[in-house]
Amino acid sequence: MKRFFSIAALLLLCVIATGCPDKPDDSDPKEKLDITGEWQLTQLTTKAVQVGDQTVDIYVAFTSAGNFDLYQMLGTGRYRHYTGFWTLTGETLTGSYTGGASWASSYTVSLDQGKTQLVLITADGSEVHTYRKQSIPQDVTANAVEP
Amino acid sequence: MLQRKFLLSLTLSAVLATACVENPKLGDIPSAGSDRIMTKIINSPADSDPGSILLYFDQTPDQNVLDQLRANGASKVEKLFNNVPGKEELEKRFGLDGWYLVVLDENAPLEKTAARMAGLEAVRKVEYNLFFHKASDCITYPFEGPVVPATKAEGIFNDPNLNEQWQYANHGNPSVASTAYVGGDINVEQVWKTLTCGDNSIIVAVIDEAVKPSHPDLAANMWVNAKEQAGQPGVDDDGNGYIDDVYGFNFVNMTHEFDWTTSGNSGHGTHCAGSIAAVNNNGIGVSGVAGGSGKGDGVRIMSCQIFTGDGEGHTIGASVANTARAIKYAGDNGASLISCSYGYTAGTFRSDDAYMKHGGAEGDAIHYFEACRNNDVLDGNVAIFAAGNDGKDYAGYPGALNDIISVSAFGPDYLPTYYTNYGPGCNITAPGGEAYLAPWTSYSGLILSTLPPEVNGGNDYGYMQGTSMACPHVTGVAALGLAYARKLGKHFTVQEFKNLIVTSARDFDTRLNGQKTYEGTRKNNPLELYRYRKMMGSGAIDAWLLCMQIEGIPSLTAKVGENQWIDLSPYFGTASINLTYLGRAEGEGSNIKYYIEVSDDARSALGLAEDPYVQFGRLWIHPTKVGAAKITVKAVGGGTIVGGGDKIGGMEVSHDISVIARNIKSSNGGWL
Repeated sequence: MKRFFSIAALLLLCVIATGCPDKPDDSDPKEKLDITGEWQLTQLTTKAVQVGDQTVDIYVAFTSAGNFDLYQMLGTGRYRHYTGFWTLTGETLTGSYTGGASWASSYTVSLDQGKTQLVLITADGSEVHTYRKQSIPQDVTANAVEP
Repeated sequence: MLQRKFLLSLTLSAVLATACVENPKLGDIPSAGSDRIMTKIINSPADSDPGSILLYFDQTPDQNVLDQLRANGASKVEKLFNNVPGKEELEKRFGLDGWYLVVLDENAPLEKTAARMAGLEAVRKVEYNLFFHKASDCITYPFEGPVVPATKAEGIFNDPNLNEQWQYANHGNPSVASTAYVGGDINVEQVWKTLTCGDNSIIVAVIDEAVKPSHPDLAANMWVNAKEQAGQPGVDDDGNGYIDDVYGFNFVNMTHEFDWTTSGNSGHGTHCAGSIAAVNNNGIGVSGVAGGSGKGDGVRIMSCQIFTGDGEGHTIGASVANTARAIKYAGDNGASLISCSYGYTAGTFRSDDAYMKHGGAEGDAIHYFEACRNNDVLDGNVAIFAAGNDGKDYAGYPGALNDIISVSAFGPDYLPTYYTNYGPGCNITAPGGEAYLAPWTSYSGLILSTLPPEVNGGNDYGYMQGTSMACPHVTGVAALGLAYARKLGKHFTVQEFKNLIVTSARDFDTRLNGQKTYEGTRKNNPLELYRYRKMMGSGAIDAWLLCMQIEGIPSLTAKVGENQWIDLSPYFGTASINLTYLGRAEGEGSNIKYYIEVSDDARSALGLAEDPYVQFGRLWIHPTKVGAAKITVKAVGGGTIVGGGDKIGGMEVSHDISVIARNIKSSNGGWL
């Protein structure tokens, strides 16, 4: 089921847990931060005030082999399907798209205890993306087009 | 003459002619020549029917007026349009209830009679019953089959001659033309493969010569008026004012019997119909743009015959009166699109005002048609016209009107054809086919489609060229668009849909350099291609782009803190680089910037450092904060100025462009 949300009006004061990272953990971070699986963006917060609204729908699947499939619909139309590669080093997630374009940012990663919520914070702390564990609907993958 | 024959055969209920009346004194009608009278006469009599005239009354003419008309040369007076129950308000809004057709006495002098009738107080307008002309040379070349046996094209349809139709998938075959251009087509294959092939609820009326309804490659896609088909012969079973109109109507002879065989017919209507909806995947002949997948899903063709032959090799018909009736019929009987490969000779009118002053019954009928609603996608209908074949640097009317889509023609070399009109009034270009291109050893550079064998050497298929052929390609693409929109459950206003059509265009201008040369009798008449830059419309029609626009257009992503350009081609096609945009212009030549008006909300939402502008087909924008907003970009769909008023020009097209400003932005548009 597609879930839409609005980057809406006058709110979104920053929230953002950028300031104080947790104490580093000596254990293998990849064991703790297993981000493989399929995720849907549920919330985007920024440090800026926003006006207007815009439909944004993002699904991403990280595979254990280090590949990802990104399905995005900004505005209207069909989902655009991006693919590429990801690497998690400690809490820092980096990646690139097939074709060589880099991600717009690296991200600091955190998972909630139930590992059903994934939070990515851009390197400059300006955007916080919250994803929930969610299978990507078949109609999204079946009807997506290349970007 | 034939005009009179059919008029006499009319059975419209509103015939107002009366029997013998006492002639009023001639002094009751002012003599010809006064200014007041002449301003009522809205056109000139050249190339008009000498046996009839059109009058517009503000109020239903009473017996006294009818008597005066009869006393001064009218043998019969009847309402031009029949009234359709439930559409009275619409008929009144567009003035259709005020038009009357007056058949003149055999010896009544046309101009003097018109002047006398204009002198009547009750008469508001007098229109000579002009003739339209087809936008083709009407020469047909029978298809003799490919030298190499055809194979199934790209795994799409099994129509054996689809491979000969370069207009759908141009592979640059040098036997078509040594300059054939790969991709110089309507880009429809992927639409057929993945999106839609048509929809049998969409009806397209071909206002033209008759479409042969029994043609083996058209019959399954003909519109059928079920009540008339199942009804009583000679009875108006559906009560629409026309008897036995199963596939449409013959408005020349005012009969349900079409005539495509009398000498003077060329097969023009059948050819246009085949381009729109020849039955696809039926194992025979050719394919049509919206002809379905072979499962009964092709759009349906309604034939509205306005041209025929006189038996001596000449075309007759297509007076304003029968054309206007045909257009209204299409609107009243379910057509969503009309394909109109005819018009006035370019130069007959040189501005919208001049045409609207002429303001005739056919103009009223076109706008009435567009206001009728016959599908669940649009809030009305769309008329599409050929630009004309005069080789003039402006389009012919009525297609040249700024709110009507007018189509110019390109050849298999993806360059303008020698015959096409171009310039103001042309909104978009499409394949029209062209003779004389090297090696000029076959006719395959023209458009292959269906033809009646009776006028085509016994062959069901053949070639023609003209903006007449370009027009139905745009009509077919529009029909595919309606089919796809219906499949997706999308809804648009008529203006929105026209915007989508005119902006679903590929770049056509960047190749317009140097000369285009010919063989044969045109060998010494090359085209100077620079003359056609920005003159062929917004670009070349692209079926895939239209469907993508119908699906919806992604938001454009901008990065906060940078003045950056955003590609407009998703909104205006790859022709966006060559369009003229509306807004405050600064600079000159290729460096011109068009500043876009933005709302205060959008300016605030994005913290715009300056008004966005378009340059080189790119939207330049400088947001200073994260946000989202819609910005309306307006452009000229064809040419450099918007038509209307005292100008002939293009159509204003606009798109709301959704912009998301983020702090981060990947170079390929990906979210991460």
